[in-house]
Amino acid sequence: MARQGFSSSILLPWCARLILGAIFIYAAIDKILHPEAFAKAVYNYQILPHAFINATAIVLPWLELILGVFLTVGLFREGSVGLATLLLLVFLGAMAFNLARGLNIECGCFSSGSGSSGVHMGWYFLRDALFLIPALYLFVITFLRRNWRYA
Amino acid sequence: MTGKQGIIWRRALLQTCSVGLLAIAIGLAVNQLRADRLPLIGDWSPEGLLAKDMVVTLEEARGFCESRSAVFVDARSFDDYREGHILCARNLPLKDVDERFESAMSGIPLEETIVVYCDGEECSLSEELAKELYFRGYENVKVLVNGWSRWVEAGFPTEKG
Repeated sequence: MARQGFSSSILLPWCARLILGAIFIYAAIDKILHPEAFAKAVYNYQILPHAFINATAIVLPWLELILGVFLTVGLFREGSVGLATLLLLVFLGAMAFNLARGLNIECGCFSSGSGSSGVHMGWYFLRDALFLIPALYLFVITFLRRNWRYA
Repeated sequence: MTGKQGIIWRRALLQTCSVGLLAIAIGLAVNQLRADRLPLIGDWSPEGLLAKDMVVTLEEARGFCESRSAVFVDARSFDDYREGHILCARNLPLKDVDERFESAMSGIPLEETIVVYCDGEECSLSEELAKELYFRGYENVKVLVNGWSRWVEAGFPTEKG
């Protein structure tokens, strides 16, 4: 029994980190390749002041890539898990804000292409909410439980 | 909060700052090195946005000209226009836009594609005329940057008079 508990306490966090890391790396690549299109996606959210749009489009994809790599290899675990969770919450908040005010835009989450895919933002919201599951799980075992070293 | 958890939170904060700084450094450095770099502060005003979506390539312009699917508007002076212009282009010098708009654009529906050009890479006449046309109701206004020189260089059809 003890043996099983030990292996799941290592395996589950490892899987969660791998999944979350892969999501972040995948999300970063298209944005890094197409900065202008991503800037347009950021603009479309109509949340940030104009002066911050380009800086966000320049830095955010790299933040996602670094977080993805760090999560995957297990570097800077506490910071990576905290920041990844925070980022997902910010993305969800931005989408919820635009859903609430009836603005249906491209989410710019994985592809920064400007053409409308016709998918309602509500679906993107649900998808990102799913990504929160591994993130919140890691957050809880990292910050709120005692055996944090396995996270 | 136990002492151990306090250490974890402090460590997380420090790591978060490090990751953030690293992302800023790499992001800025890569942006500087790439050809399609973004300016740190972009022009996201309606006019700036309009300018971004307006540019057509030489090949696209040639296609428009061949299929007669766009109206070409020469933004240079009447004298320059008379010496030579893109085949079938109309002349609407920016400085005379108020007086000549009606006659130059008569019979052209507002949904028609318009390609505006002038001469020289620094020439802002076409862009300003394009904005002028846009604000006067034309929705599909394009700009062929440095249009006249590139058109002549490519050997595409022109006419005089």
